[in-house]
This record gives sequence, structure tokens and C-alpha cells, in this order.
Amino acid sequence: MNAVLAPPLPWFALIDAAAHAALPRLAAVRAAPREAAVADEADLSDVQATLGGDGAAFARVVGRHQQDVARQMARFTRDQATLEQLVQDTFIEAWQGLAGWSGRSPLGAWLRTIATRVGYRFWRTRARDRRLQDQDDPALAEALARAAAAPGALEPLDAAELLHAVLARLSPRDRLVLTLLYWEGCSVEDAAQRTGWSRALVKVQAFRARRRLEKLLPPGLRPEGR
Amino acid sequence: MDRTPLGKLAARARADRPAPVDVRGPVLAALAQRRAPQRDRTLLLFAAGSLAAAALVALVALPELSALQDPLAGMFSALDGVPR
Repeated sequence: MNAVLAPPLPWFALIDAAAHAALPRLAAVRAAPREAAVADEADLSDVQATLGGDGAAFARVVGRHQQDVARQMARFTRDQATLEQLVQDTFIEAWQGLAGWSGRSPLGAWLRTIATRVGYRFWRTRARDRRLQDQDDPALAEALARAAAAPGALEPLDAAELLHAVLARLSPRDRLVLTLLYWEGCSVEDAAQRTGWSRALVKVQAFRARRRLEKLLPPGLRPEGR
Repeated sequence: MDRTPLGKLAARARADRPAPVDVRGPVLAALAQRRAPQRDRTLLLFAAGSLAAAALVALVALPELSALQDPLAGMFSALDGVPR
């Protein structure tokens, strides 16, 4: 494992001007009183070290946050190989934009925003590749009817599979806003931050998505306004 | 907390935990393969030096070039009087 984590990293010599500009900013955040800096000290020091050319430091960042990112990515795909690919893409994108992290908000929150973007892009690509799934799936209809009778009785895995199957019938935009509000349990504010949309747009999109979802669900599972 | 049936279903789904992943190796390998566009300072300095040297040579050579005479001009000058 250590051999994997400490490869020769000539690529970290490619730190650009943006990274050099970010280093004093992160140093200032670290030097600030703890109550003023929201980011975790380990994240701050490892991001600083990464920007300074330390590849092992970025491996530590990935190691600390990869399970959280994977948990989020499980909302975007139920396939383990695809999930791992999306987690990788998230961290690669994070590395490319690492100099843009202010250090004044938790690194995990910043990674969640990137993960949302990566997952949404994945959905959009898939939606272009193939049209939305068949609307008349008897097995799904039966599972939905069972879930409607007792939604709390399902195992978490079954509930996740069912919710994923239901939301997969929506367009990527509708699916994203409902995934964030329902599955992730985000507030409108959080959803707006993750998507880069305004709060008003999140509310409008959620309203429209609920209306479209109502047509797909049995009465017992239909969403109501939040 | 959303008490609607869909909200309850989502709450159950939220408790689902995916299998642990370890992408540290693949991420570092992918980054190692990437070649971010970089400006090689040594190469830039060398190119600038070469350009300066070429400009200097051109500056010296241009007046000399204009002063050059055709080495065969003398031989053909005798033919100038031959009627065609």
C-alpha cells in the first residue's frame, strides 16, 4: 500500500502560478485563530503541502475524504465500478482546482460541490447516450407499491435501489434537485450552493420535478411540497 | 424532516452505505499521466537567446549583403557590347 501511496511524482513539479498565489492565502488561514478558520487543520496543511509539490499529501487528502465522496456518488450510480470512477474524477478535478479552495470553508463541503458537478455531468452524458428508461416497468411498479404500503420497512440498500430507479426516470436537472433535497437531505441553500443555481431556481426546479415525479409514483409515495 | 412517504423512503435510502473504496493509487496514477501545460524557463531563455543572436547577426550581415557584388559581373560585363 505504501508503495502505491508514495510514487515518484514529477508531475507535482508542475505547480503553476495560481498555486503559488494560493499558498500565502492558506498560510494566513492557518495562522488565524482557530475559531476564525473553519477548515480542518490536517486539510489545510495537506493542501498547502500539495500545492508546494508534495504528492503524498494529496494522497492523504484523498484517503480522508474518499468515503464521503463515495457515499455521495452512490446517489448518482449504483454500479460499483462507475462509482469508483466518479470518485476518481472528483479528486482529479479537485486537484486541478486546488488553488481555488479558499481554506475558509471545510474541504469536504468544497469536494461535495465538485462531486455534484461530476455526478450531474455523468447523468447528462448518460441521458444523451440513451433515452430515459422505459416508463412501464412492472417489477418497479410492484416494488413501488410495496414501498408505498410501508416505506420505513425497507432495508436501506433496497430503499436506495428503489429511489435510484424512480429518480432515474426524470431528466438530469429534475433528478439532481430531488436527489439533493430528498436523498441528500440538503436544504434549499445547500442545494443552491452545490449546484451553483440560485435559491429561487432550486425551488422552481424542485416544484416542477415533483410535479413530474407525481405522474410516475403510486399515490402512497407521491411527494408533497417542501 | 420530511414525513411524506417519499421522504421516509429517502431517509431509509440515506442510511445505505456503499462498499469502501480506495482510489488513492488510481488518482495519483491518473495525475502522473497528465501533462499540464508548463512553461519551461530553460527552454524559454534558450529561445530568447537564440532570437537575440539571430537579430545581431542579421544586423551585421544586412549592410554587408547589400554591398556584395556579383562575382561573375566582371566576366559578363565584356559581353554587354555584343549586339544581339
